[in-house]
Amino acid sequence: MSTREESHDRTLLEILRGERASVENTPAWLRKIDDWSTRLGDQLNPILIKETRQALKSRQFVTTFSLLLFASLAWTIIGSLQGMPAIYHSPSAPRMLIGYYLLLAVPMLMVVPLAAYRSLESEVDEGTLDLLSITSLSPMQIISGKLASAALQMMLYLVVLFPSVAYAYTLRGVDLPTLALLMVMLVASGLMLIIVALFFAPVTGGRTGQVASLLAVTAILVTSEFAIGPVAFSLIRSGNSLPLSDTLVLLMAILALGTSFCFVLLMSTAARLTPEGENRSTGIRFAILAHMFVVVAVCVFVVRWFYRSESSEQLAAIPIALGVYLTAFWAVVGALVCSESAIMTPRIRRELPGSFLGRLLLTWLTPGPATGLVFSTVTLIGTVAASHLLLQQVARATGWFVDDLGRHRTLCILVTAYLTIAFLGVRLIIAFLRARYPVDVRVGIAAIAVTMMLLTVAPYAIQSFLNDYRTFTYSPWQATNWAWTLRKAYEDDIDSVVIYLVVGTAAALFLLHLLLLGQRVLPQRLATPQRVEREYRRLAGLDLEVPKPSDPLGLASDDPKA
Amino acid sequence: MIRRVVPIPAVHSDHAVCIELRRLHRFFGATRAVNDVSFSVRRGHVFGYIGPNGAGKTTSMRILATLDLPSYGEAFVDGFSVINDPELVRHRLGYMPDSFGTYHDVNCWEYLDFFARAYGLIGRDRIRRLRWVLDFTGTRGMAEKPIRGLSKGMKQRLCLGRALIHDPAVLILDEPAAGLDPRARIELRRMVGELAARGKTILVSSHILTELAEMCDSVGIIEQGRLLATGSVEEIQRERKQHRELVFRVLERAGEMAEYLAAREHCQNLIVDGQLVRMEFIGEVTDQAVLVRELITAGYPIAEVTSHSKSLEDVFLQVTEGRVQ
Repeated sequence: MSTREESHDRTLLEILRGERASVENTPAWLRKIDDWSTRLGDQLNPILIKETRQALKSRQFVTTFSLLLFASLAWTIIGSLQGMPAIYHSPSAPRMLIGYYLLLAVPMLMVVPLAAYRSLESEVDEGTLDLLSITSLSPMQIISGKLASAALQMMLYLVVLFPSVAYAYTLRGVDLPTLALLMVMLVASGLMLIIVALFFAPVTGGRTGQVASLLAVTAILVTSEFAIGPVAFSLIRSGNSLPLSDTLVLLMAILALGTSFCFVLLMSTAARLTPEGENRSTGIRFAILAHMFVVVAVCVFVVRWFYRSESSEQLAAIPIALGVYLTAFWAVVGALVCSESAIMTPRIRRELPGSFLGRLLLTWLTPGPATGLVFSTVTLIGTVAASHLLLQQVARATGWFVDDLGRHRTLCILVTAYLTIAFLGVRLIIAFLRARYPVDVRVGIAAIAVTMMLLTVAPYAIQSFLNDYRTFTYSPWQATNWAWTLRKAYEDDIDSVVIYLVVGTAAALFLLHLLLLGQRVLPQRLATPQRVEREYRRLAGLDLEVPKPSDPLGLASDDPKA
Repeated sequence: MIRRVVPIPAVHSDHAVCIELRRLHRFFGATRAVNDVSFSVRRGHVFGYIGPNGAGKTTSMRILATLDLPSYGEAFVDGFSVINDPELVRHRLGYMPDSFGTYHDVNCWEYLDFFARAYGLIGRDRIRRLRWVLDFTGTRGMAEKPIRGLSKGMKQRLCLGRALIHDPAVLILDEPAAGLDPRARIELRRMVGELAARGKTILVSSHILTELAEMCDSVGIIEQGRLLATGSVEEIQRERKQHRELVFRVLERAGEMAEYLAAREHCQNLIVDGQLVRMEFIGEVTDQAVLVRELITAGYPIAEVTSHSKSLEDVFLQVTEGRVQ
């Protein structure tokens, strides 16, 4: 063995024995730092450590990092030379900053989210996700580790450009709060895009699905890049015209909305990685509830904060936008929740609420399409009602939109009723399909599209046929035609009979569903076997002494080969 | 990104039966990948799972590894249900799939270190465990080598190391010998034997039946989702009335002796080849002894008797009735 090999082996042995730090000539304070770092490392998410190790060694990171470094240096030189000699006496920071923003936005809003997407997708594709699934890591730890590693890379890119940004600041023309706002905007957008990219990674399987999801992610990233860019440029050029308090409120509101939405996406991504026999639904439902609460609360707060006089009538756009968002959100989420599998493994049933109050309030958060339908409908009604009350408050305060309140209320009621009917349709379609084929929750999206289309096309086609394909006017026979009915409601030209008919049908169907599925909606909690409980306690470090199980038949033997 | 780390105490099986499948079914649409499979493996035993491609081996193993759910039936690892208590099963289980499942841009040390952390091993326990695994699998010399530069055999060792990192009581090895050279196979056989001697229960699938015959205490033969036979190779042979080939070297009267043997109840398919009389013998070893004694008593000048039972390969071919794909 050569001297070099011997030295290599010795070093490795030292590492393996954990004796590297105890080399005699290492100062005590360094050893302490080393021990402290080791302990800290033990507390970190292993995925973060692995991903960071991988990322920092990857060709993609090295190339992007080097390119960013050279490009920023090049722009600093070229931009400064181009600005000569005006750079000495007139503010030149905006021009330089726009260049730096363009350089930074590419890795932060494109490269890092795509790398995060690819990282999770390759775990699924190459089968390493299976290996991770059987470790002690939870799906949420896997996702958060990937997110943290991507955030770390983003920070490294930010640090590369930090001296350049500081240089631009010295050229005057941009104040510190604007710079800070720009950086917060960039980092927050980057993080949200990483979460969106991670959400898409395990959504589809197979080559075609992977290509489709990659295209979707790329489209979202490019669109975001073009959407955030103009806002950033305007911020750099014109600065922030709002007072600091208003800026902070707006920033917090956007961050709260983004965070709660990203939480829903994270929970959904984690659910996709969770094995089939486990509870994949309750976490998502909690996240949806939290998101709904945040959305309504933020809207109320923003309206209250920014309302100053009757001239604040443009605030009415907030409740209207909220209504539109809720409709779109629930059409997708409701369809997915109503398409869940009705199978409750004993494992899930062990975790059901046991007390009367718990069953009363939390049963709707337990997995299954029956509870999903009730959860979706009730939350939809609650949030739509909240959005209408908010609009009412704005209208009363400003005097604007008062005449349209009735129309808005009708629209809210109709949308809720139609969605409830659609959820029931989805539930029936999925139950029919599931009896024959294995059906994924994603089919729910197709089911709601089919339901909504049938509700529109069927009455229109029938009446067209009966009318000998001549044009005809709206009548209560078109009550299920939601597109036409909603248009009529928007034009305030709708018969109250139609409203009663639609709402009455939705309410009757919903109540019938509740009555028919009463027993299935309230499944009994199962007791956890003592041996299992004891083992969980042991794993949690609460009960390390495990009593040996009794062996009255003498089945267990000391000889393993016996 | 701080996580709550609970150091996991080592898990050692306290159950006599470590792996148990009870009427396991797994359907993929109309395809019955696993169809009513039941068997059990006792602690410290090596169980060979044999079957052609698409027989349902990997599906059963994935169910045992808590990566899939059965359509019907139950599976237990160390007495814990893979459906109801997957976390408890995972602590006891080391799984090595047929694909390597390695990462790019990491070296062997980092790879094993990551999985050790993922299993909740911390501090010096992790280092000690890593050292043991590197020693056991003979990969210590490659600790700092990038995984992508490793040979197939070394990757296989590394993956076995990963499966062993948390000291599981049960090991599930899916085609561990596939694509390995003879030396690597011998090494793998040694490692499996050593692990079994340490009390680990091992379920191993392979196409290389001679390998399995040497390392397994018992085998299960599966085809088209159905378990056709289970037990030790000898038990299966006995159950299936497996033939034993007998070869006599007779100095003279070979033809006459063949006629004599043809009239006996356990003998069939006689072939005379000069001094050699070959035949298939159906019966126990005691019957064989009686036959040899009778031949000598009858005065045939027998110079040599050779007997060998059929290999696992022959048993497999007979059990699967030639439907091997």
